[in-house]
Amino acid sequence: MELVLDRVSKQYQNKIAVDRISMTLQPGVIGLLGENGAGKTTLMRMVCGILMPSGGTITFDGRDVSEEMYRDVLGYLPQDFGYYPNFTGRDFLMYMSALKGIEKSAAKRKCEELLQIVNLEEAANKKIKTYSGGMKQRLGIAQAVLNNPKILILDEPTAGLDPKERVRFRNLIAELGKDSIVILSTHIVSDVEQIADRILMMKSGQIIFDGSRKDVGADLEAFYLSNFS
Amino acid sequence: MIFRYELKKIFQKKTNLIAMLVGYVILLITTVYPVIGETEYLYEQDIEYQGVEAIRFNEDFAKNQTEVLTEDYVTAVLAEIQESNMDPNTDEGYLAFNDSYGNLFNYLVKSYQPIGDDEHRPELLMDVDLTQGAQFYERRVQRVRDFVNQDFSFGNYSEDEKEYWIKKAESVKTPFVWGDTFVLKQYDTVIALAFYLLFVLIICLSGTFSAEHEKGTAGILLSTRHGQRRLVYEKGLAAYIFGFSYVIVGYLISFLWLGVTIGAKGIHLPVQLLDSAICHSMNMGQFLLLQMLISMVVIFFEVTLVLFVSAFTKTTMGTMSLILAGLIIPAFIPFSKGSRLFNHVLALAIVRMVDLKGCLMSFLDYRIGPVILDLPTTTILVHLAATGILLIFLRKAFVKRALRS
Repeated sequence: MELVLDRVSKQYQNKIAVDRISMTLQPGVIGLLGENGAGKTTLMRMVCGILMPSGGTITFDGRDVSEEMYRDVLGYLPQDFGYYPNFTGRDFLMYMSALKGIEKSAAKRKCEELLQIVNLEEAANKKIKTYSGGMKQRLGIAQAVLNNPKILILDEPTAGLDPKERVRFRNLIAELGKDSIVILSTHIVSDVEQIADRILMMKSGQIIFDGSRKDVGADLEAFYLSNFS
Repeated sequence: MIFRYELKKIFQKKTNLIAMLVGYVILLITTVYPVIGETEYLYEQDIEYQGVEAIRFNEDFAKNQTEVLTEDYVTAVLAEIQESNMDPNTDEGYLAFNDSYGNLFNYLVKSYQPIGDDEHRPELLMDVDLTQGAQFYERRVQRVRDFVNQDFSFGNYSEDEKEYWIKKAESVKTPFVWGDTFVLKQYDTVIALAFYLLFVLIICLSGTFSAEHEKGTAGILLSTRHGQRRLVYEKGLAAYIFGFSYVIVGYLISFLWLGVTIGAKGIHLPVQLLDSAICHSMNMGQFLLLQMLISMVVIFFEVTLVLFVSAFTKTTMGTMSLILAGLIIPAFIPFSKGSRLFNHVLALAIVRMVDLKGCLMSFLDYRIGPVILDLPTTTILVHLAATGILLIFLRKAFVKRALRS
């Protein structure tokens, strides 16, 4: 299982958001660190196949990410997770299941399982507009893993989560990373410190560091700040 | 299953529910009011009938006049009018003629006026030469002949077109069955009023695609298996189901009320009782079906247009503004005195199709090679073709634009 980025670029008029990035990703948790405006979200959207690159290609096991089959194995939690205020949590997950092509009875079982995992069982029949920020984020995580994705893209996934929820989230991601490629894009170092096998650092549209967790040393935060000062 | 959630999105929005309710309230008021507000005043007896009573009075009056509007009958009526020596331009004269002849009086006045002359000129009946009879049916074809042979500033009818209209006028079956058309006109009014329901559809459906961008859900949707193809079709399906259901239920509520209150007499009456110069061979029932067909085609087009613009603009307010402007502005644009093409295009605007009777009287025709088509037929074909084109590009408008931004 391999996700290959080959000289991927994205240019908006005069601004280069992503500048000729090449890399090969295998199963595991990949932490993508960078300050705001580094190009992380743009890169993530291109990897998801929902933004066309200006140049280069992104393939998964030889297939371009624009193909429908790729989205079968993709799970995505965007940075500003949007929702339908009058849908209940359960409605939303069932709707996303239908969009992901999950058969109805299997979708029902999976939704119940995930509602339990993300601790939203009791709020499942309440409208999403009544949810707290953390509850909405947990719902977003649940929809991202509905289809047992082989590629999971999480863009700033811990926004709004309290420390206890963050620990649960890290455990979930670490578990998923055993069999899937998980790209965790964040500017919060502690999110990736404990679970990422590989660290990428992005600045001004370019990858300025690509190495394993061991290469970084004991203090990831210090290493991160030294690269961005 | 996806379209059920798309329908849920429409019905769960409070503003949509309010718009739907207001639409139905307006429809009901405009259905009920003309019926309960109908009055018939008999001047000589000083009796006034109101509402359903007035409608029944006119129906019975017309029934008792004559079953068929024969040349002999029209001649006899015109002779009576001329011999009365009353001035129809005075209140007394007009009311007296109205008492004696009911709706037939105004109908005959209109039938002897040139096409396009909208002024009410009853004095014309006094000048009709009856030495060879009223020549009522000859007169109606002559009206058409005179009209198409006129000089128009924006261009005259070609010989083919003149022949088309005159032949069409001559093909109408005569003599006309006579009766009161008020009841069937109310059903026509209901169908025309569906135009107002289009505003509700625009409000409810403008956010179909654009709201996904506004809410921030577009990214998640597009990243799913069905998010770039099937979702578009299912959103469209939900929009069409909603649009057609909403309008048809509106029709049914109004038709039910009309059916129970005033019935549906007059289906068999010829449309020529609306204006004798109408060249289309159909009865009132067929006229209503044509009006329904046109309104369904218009709804199909309008919903598709809303979906397309919603996919393109990415903002709900932007979509609504564009669509409403496109719908309303043509109503305020006058027909040109210099350009026939301009008039032909303007006549196809949805807002102009509200008045089907006006369309039947328009004498606008469209040429496709050797084939000449009338306005209602062209409207149906053009709107269906436009709908087809928009549907082809709908997916591209939503998906490709989102992927490029």
